[in-house]
Amino acid sequence: MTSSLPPDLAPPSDPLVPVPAPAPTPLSLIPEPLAKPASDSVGEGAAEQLSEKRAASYAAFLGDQRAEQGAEPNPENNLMVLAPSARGNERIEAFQFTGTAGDYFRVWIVNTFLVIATLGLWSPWAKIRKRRFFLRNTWVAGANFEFHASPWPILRGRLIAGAAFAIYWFSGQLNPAYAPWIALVIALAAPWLVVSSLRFNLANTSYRNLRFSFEGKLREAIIALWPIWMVAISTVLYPPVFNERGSLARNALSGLAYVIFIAFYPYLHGKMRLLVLNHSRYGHAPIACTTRLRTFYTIYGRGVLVAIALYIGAAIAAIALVAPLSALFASALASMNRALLVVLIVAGTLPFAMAGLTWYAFTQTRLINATFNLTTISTNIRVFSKITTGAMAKLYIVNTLAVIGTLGLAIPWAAVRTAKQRVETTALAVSGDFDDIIADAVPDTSATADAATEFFSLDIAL
Amino acid sequence: MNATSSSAETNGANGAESAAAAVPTPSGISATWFDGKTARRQLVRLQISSRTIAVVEVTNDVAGAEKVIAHVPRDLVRVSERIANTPYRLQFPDGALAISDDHCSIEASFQLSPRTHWLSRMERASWAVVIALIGLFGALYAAYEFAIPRVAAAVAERVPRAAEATLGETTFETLDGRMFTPTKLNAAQQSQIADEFQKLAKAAGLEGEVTLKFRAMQPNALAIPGGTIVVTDGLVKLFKDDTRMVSAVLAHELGHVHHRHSLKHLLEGSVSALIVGALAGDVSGVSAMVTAAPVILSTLKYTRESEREADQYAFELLRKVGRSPQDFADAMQRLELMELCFALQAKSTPGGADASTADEFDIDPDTEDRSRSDARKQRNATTQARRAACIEGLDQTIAGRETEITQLRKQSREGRTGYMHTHPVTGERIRAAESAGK
Repeated sequence: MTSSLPPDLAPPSDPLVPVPAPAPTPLSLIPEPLAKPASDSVGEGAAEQLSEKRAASYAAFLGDQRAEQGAEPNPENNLMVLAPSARGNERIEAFQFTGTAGDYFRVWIVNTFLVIATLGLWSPWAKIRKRRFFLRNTWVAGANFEFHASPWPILRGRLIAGAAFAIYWFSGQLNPAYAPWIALVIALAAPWLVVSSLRFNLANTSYRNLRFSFEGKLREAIIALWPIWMVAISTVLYPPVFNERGSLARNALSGLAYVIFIAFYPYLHGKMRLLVLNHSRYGHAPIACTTRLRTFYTIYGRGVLVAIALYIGAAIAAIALVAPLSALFASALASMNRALLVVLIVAGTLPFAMAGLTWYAFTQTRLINATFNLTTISTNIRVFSKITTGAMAKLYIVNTLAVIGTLGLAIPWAAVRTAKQRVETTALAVSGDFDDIIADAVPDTSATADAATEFFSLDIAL
Repeated sequence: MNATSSSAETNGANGAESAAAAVPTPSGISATWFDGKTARRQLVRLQISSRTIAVVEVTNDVAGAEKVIAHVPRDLVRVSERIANTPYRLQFPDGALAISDDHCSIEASFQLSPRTHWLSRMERASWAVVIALIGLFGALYAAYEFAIPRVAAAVAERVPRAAEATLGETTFETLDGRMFTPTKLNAAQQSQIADEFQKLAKAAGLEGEVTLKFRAMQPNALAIPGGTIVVTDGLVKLFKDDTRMVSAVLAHELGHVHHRHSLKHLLEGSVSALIVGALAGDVSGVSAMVTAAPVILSTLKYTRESEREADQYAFELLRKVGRSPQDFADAMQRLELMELCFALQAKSTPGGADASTADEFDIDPDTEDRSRSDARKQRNATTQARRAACIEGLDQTIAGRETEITQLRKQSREGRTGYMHTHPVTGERIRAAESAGK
């Protein structure tokens, strides 16, 4: 398996959204004997040996699950929870995250302090530094990632986007009647913002000294995002405000924006992921994802059932917590004891917060698995992902409690844990090697749109 | 690769280059090489002298000759800044890259001084981390305590009042549709209060910028953005048409209008949310509670401060029109008494209090809090009657129960109950008004 076609290799987990944490660098962990240029023939034996050697690490990574043997009638659905099995000529390269919470705490506290002390002007430097921490600590096949953006364009972009955001925010707050119109303008601009932001982030990310690139055009982004135009237009036409004195028909129309949004929610999420995974390159090698739209609807359809179950569970838990407490302290309640009221509110809210995090973990992990497990880079590299709902839900709940309990000091710890969990549930199945992947020209990019997507919370994170 | 060999090399100054050339074998810093043209990964050794860097390929051939991949002047190679324990990145002039986690050797070979990478040094130095930690909490506290309220006040004062008008109209319409019912006060009552209001507005220099409206609701008065002040039927009934007390409350509301509190709260809330968002932005998948809680807490503080500010304003305005701040103390005491009456009745009723009580009787809550009172519609008739007895017939209802009232007041002053106007802060406000009235 030596003559792969064009170059290929791809970054797996979330190269777009770097994750944190440094550590010892296993540079020489994988002493691939790829040397010798004359090795077109050498490859065979070595690769076989390697694939045997890696069978062990593959078993450890996947727990020997076989997606083909999953319980789903539609084989593609198995990929929501299981990674596929490797073929005979493939070796598994698992992603590794080497950052530690202690190291990231230092980076985080120093840079966050500088951001506050400079009234935010340091934020581009802090952003770069933090992202580099996560990317440089993300390893696969003996190499790590890097973020290349320079701070000055980011600063310029953030100043522009920040000013636009301030105008948007305050005019919306002061004149609620303008808000839907402003939202419409942002919705119309969203495809352009998303495309520019992806271009910026991918072009500034590299692996093995080769850059990624996003070559999606406005047209593709519009295909992915047009439902939000519909939501914005229906918000302008029929403001989603229930009015007791309004007519039934009027009130029914006021729900239109919600209906469109819910109906297209799986479409939006799925298409956004496909936008990234189908229009990016690593070096010159194309990245492609074949997940079908119906899979996203399957995920969120089940998500609705899970949401109902979680909500009922949370309600029962809240009652089970609050009822005995109120019975126990009935007399204190009658005189409106303040501390007890706070305890009761927290006891009543916490189960719902946890249910919300669990639901998020459920849909997010299925979305990640279902797309990564059908993603290829060039012709000889496949992405495997086996992130699980239980692990993510537990992670999110513990993170939330820790961040609250430490008044925010656990934020770096939570960020590193999240990164590790996400990075290390991803792997590449490689046949042949990376040598054939060649560089491509690095396109011009602008940081302004990226800053705008941050301010306006257009979530394009992978 | 060890640090000693390479640093010895550098120290050897002039002789270094020839020495490196003379001793070919496994010396140099181990690194991984990426040529920038393909994704190929090669293990190499970097042989760094004082002037040049030679990149030598590491092969599996035990006997094989070493192959020099690159040999360039040292000055042309850029070394990245270091982040924690991640490897150094050496950028070669032709776009190639070497990464090495042999930090000591790289630092020695390139004679990296602390100044070159001051940020990395800070992140590694414990004193800097401690200073950043203290500085961060100090800065956040300063922002919360001083910077945010002052900046918000300065900005709010400079925004023309007309900017709030639409917000005020929308807010009022919403309230009108959900909480208010038309007033049942007669024309005489209305014009008496309206006259008082005009007098106060004129003295406040807000004539023409404020409007008075009457609506039926529980005892309350509200300052709505844009300068509309609403007086409720409940308040007039509770004060038994006593113009002095109604004026005192109106003066307090004018204080909110004067200080632009609704706009100020809007700004304070946005800035708090922005700061919290920037800090917590690092973690995804943390419950919204994490970002909401600090914003809510700071908002409560700012609201409380606004009440004090409006009180102070009311005291001066009352003096200006020939009244006394004591009127305001009387009004607050009356509101407090009403809530003590609620508590008393709740105590003697088996059902206990309903939880929404706490939030509903603030003299002018932020308008968004009002949505909560939708729950009022479900309140049962018993509660309604109980409350009416405490509003319209307050004096009769508590007649003869002074001891219980005193005891309840004492409890609540110690902070053990949740009624808004029995809160310890209310005690302070009453005392402040009384001392201003002397």
